[in-house]
Amino acid sequence: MNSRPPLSTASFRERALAGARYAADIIPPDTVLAEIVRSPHTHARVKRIDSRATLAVPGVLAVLTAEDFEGIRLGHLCADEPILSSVARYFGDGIAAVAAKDRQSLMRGIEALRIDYELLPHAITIDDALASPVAIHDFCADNIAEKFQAVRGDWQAINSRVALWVENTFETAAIPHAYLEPRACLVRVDGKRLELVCGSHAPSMMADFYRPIVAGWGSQLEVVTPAIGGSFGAKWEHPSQLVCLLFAQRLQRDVAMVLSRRDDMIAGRTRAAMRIRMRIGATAEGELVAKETTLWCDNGAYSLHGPAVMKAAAIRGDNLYRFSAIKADAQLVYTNNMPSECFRGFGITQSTFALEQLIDELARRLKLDPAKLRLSNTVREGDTAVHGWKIGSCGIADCLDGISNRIDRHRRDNALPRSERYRTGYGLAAFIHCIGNRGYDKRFDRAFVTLRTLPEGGIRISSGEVELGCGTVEVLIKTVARELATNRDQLEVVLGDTATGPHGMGSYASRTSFFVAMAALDACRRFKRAAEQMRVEFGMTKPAEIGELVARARQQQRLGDLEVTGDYQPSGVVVPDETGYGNISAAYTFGAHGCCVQVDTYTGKVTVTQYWAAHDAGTIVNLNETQGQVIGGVIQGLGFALTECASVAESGQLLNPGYLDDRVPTFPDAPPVEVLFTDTYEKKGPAGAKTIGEPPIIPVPACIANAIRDAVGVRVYQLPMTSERLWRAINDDDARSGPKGN
Amino acid sequence: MGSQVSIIRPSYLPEIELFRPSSIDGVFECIKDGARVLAGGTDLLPWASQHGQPRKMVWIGNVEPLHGFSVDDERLQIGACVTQGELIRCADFRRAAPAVADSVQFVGSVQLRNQATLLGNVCSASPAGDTLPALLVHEAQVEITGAPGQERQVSLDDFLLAPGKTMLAPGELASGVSFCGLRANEMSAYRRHTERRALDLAVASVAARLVFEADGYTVAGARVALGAVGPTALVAIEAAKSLVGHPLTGETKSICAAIAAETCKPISDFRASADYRRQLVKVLVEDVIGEIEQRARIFKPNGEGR
Ligand SMILES: Cc1cc2nc3c(=O)[nH]c(=O)nc-3n(C[C@H](O)[C@H](O)[C@H](O)COP(=O)(O)OP(=O)(O)OC[C@H]3O[C@@H](n4cnc5c(N)ncnc54)[C@H](O)[C@@H]3O)c2cc1C
Repeated sequence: MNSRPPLSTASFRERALAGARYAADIIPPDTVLAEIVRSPHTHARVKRIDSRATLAVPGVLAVLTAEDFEGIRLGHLCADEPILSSVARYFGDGIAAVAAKDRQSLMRGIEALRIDYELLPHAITIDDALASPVAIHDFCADNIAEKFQAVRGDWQAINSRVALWVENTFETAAIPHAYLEPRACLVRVDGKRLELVCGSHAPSMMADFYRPIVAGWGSQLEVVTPAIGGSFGAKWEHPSQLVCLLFAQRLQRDVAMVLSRRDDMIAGRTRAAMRIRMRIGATAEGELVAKETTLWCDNGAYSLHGPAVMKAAAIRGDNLYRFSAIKADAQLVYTNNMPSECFRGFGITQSTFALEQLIDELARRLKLDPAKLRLSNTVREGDTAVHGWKIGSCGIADCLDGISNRIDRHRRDNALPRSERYRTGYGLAAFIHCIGNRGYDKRFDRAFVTLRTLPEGGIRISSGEVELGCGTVEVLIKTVARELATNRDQLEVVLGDTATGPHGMGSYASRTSFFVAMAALDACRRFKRAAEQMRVEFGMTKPAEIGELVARARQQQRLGDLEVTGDYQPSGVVVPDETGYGNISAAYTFGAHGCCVQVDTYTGKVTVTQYWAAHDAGTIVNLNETQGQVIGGVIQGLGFALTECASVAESGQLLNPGYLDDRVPTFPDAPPVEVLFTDTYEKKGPAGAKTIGEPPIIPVPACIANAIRDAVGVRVYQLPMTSERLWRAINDDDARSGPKGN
Repeated sequence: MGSQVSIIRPSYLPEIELFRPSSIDGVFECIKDGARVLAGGTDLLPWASQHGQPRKMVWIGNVEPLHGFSVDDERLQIGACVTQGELIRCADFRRAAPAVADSVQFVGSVQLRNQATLLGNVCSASPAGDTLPALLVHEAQVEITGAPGQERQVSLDDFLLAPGKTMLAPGELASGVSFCGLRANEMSAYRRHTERRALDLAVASVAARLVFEADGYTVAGARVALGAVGPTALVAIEAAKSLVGHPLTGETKSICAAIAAETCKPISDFRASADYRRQLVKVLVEDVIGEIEQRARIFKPNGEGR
């Protein structure tokens, strides 16, 4: 059935040697090219599309509009994103699509397209959207896509215990995911079978989502995952894929679309911008008692994972501390901005910016050491945290100790004379995170790994999870090579191929390594059982060399009996209730970061001169890659903290759709990062391991903000903390008074 | 209400008719025919991708005479095809025009500088163009050629008209730029503020060139120029004048900085507000003068070194 051999997934080594092939590299020269035609208006109803001139351009093959996708909407949680829209809801929303035999005809065809709009009032801020009489979606009159509330503990009782509240409002920015590979997809046609080749971090989920749609057109669908140049949470379903699928189905020809960098940025997704009002209350001795959060999340024009991101931001970080009482009130607001999407940290990165600054401020008010204040309040092994998380192995104390020692030593060794202009400060921030989320998909949180002994020799390891640069290939090879005592050269890894491999939920929620390693362990156990049975049947003496056995199985055409699929589902996890209560993950990861900053008080420019990141990721399976993940996360966080922002004009137009003006850090911006790992063993994990994926970015903005506060006595409550904003705060007497207390 | 622009054009290069003549005459034929000059292409090609035009270009890289550059005692002459990378690797150039060398060093990245020409930066006439303030304090003259043999020299200050606009008329080529090198008792420097350390555009920038009296510290002459705080790079005449006749002290520096900040004409946009840009000018003027002070002490202008 499968005409092509599956694409084996590139290892780090192959990537480094330029051997990886991305979707855009696989497109054959005679493939039909497609583009989406985007609205230059932020909110407008399409009155008329005149495609006659387009279709008259030689080489143009077809035009699609909203009508061709009637009734089809993207969105796992709230299906509200049309493939092509009859109402432009953000600057860059897709209105039509053109396919042509080559790029030049395509561009001519697009330029010939005429679209008439009726302009509508737009809302690009949360406040405008809440006040606007104009609904962005017909089904949602008040522009509030979803609300969330959680109350825990006895709020009457805490009032007598709280001696001090600290409170403030924080704002985080929408930023693009800034992966290196712009979105690209290729659809190959094989009769009724469509094969979608694209870099997604959740190819099986994508196939689950698209199959019923494609079935409605009378076709079948498989998804193939080539090398992926980064996703960070962005590369779920996207209109470009269905556009290519429909063109391919109609034209019965292979169709491809490769977004330019600019178009990828105006029509991509962003981290959800949030406004977070938060207060925390503590006793005079520094025992954390209560936390109250009011949160507004800018959903953008379409929901994607907005509802889940909002909920995670509202409460998840609370699980780090032994709060007695929690209140959270959050709303997800439709605006005429680019749709927001999950992004490394899933909303917790945003709320940690608020929580960890308030903890720091509390320590200042109570004149307590910020590391000690945290140490005496964090959850411990055996705790059930405030939102029901059952804490297993927990290395937070070691992380805090490690960072606190590094800061003390650095302060001692670098006692610089205080200059009027340059000030130095130290900051610290901590976090907790999960490994997968049983609540993400009501069906299960699960992974499979299949081992197939190949007729030509060697074993193919397949999984529906993918390699995003987090070392999935290496984890699989290491695990299987060790368990089956085989040579690595005998192993081939194929990830994210729905036609030949098992189902996978996808590489998100820091779950991949943990889940695939557990499933691989199970697969190896099954493989050994099957091999043992076969050995007995063949009457071979123990211990049979696995190679001998395989040779015999091949001779007797019995290789199929050695094909096994391992399965892993965490035990003891539940889908949380509607208030977010429940143990969602088999184990939890922890960490603390510290940094030293230098602030130029004349310009407000912050330079991070040293960074320390301590993580509890369980046993470290691959030190190099894990360190790489941490350093990468820190640098990514540095951009989120200081320089990155989707700048949107009042008209709604994105002003910086490129990396010259969306300032992702460059190598010279990267501070030295010292990475520390705790010596934690997680009983439920593969060989004691937990994971590293998202965590390294989570505490970065708060850590830097706390260091800035230490250096110059003020805070910038808004991300990014640009030089100008900090310069203003330094020169604003009101800002010096700090968060309001009672 | 209907609307004129009905689509965002996908950001891809349009079909380009590209000419690659090997003589100046050939270049002129193409320009007369409406072709746009393509040097390193680092500004023009991204622009063409976004806007779908120009669709006719003439690449000047095949014209041998435009590749020359010379550094003699008095003046530097840089041909239109000389890349910023070539310049920065030339020690004579760095010694003769420290401010210009500083500014080139800031542009983009290594790869970009190996592709981008100095004259391309001048002809792009971006308010934030890094080399412009530095070239202004080195009294740059742009060589404009209207047709083979018809040449004129225009001061850079006059050449720059508005963002993206220069004195070049249709059919004209900038064949080179010349500027003065440091003489005895002179020093120059350039500084800028960016949010990122590399691959970023100046939010504000300052160049200065000072001439000292024989005593080694009294300012005999000064030129100060500002970038990204006006429609073009600006010469800050009053600010420079305030230094002349005085030794460099905290006070004279700060007066100069204050005048520069007052006289510049910044705008507020998504990169920065006008008053922040003024503040940066103030800080950068003092920093640049401080840098010049340091450099002037480090090596003697007659090239003997320390
Ligand atoms: C990633 C990136 C980073 C950048 N960073 C910086 C930076 O830090 N600082 C900065 O100042 N700039 C920066 N730039 C802008 C750009 O690189 C410079 O302006 C560059 O010097 C342009 O030179 P070029 O040879 O590539 O010019 P081209 O792109 O070939 O030409 C630029 C313009 O000048 C015209 N032109 C060129 N030569 C002539 C001539 N001889 N006669 C008449 N017209 C001519 C062209 O027609 C065109 O309009 C950056 C650009 C990029 C893409």
